[in-house]
Amino acid sequence: MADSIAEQGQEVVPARDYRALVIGLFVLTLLMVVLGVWGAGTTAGVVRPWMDIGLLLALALATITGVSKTSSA
Amino acid sequence: MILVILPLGKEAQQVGNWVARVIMYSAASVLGASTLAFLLGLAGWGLHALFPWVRLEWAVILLGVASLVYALHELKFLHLPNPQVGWQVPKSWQRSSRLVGNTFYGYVLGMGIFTFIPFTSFYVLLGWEMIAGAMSIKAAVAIGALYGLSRGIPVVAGGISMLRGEYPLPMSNWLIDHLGWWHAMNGLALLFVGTFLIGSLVI
Repeated sequence: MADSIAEQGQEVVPARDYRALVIGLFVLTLLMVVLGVWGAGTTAGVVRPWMDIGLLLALALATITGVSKTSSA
Repeated sequence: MILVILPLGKEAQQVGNWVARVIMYSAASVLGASTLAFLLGLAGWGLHALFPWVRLEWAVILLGVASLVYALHELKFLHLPNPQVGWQVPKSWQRSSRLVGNTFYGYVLGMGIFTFIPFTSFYVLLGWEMIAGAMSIKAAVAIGALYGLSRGIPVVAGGISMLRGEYPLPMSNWLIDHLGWWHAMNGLALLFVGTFLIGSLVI
């Protein structure tokens, strides 16, 4: 009797499906690599971290890092 | 930090008071981040002057490798050292004046090196400022200034939500609850940057 009541009282928590998350992250990872290689191909072997696309990349990374840092605390 | 700058309760009605704090926090954050970027840029410029035979391409490759490795750290594939001071800005700074205290918070947090460093993309950014500074200190400062400004964006967004009559608490909670997403976003950004930097010299 006690066991039966205890069983009824147990909460049934459905296992979260992480497959979509993992596949999504994997696809995004591949996409970033492909975009990075494609972007690198357009620079013709010259990337300057202080100007042009090099500086733009740094500014984008600065924005993401800054927003993330304040948002996390 | 959003809820340190933005007040809850009755204090929220003193709009002029907290809007001034948001502006000063953001401006000081830009100044703090720019100061550090200037110093790092200067160090990069000095190193380049001292060792002119060291080609900048090597530095770019190093930055690219660091980006890729830290991308794996952010995406939880690797666990790498995450050096940080981990100091917390004291509450006592707000004792005499909240405006002055929040301005100091902005300056110190804008620098970013004295407190917790939850995202390793920050290290890549510091390296980038140094390498960019070797050729252009202005570029290094621009990177730092944008980083500082970005640190103010969530606080400004919270302020805007308050001006629209909403409490910033749900927004702040939502941002903190999605910490995993922030790490994933930083990891993906680092992956793109790393592939780009290395690829540009290899392809």
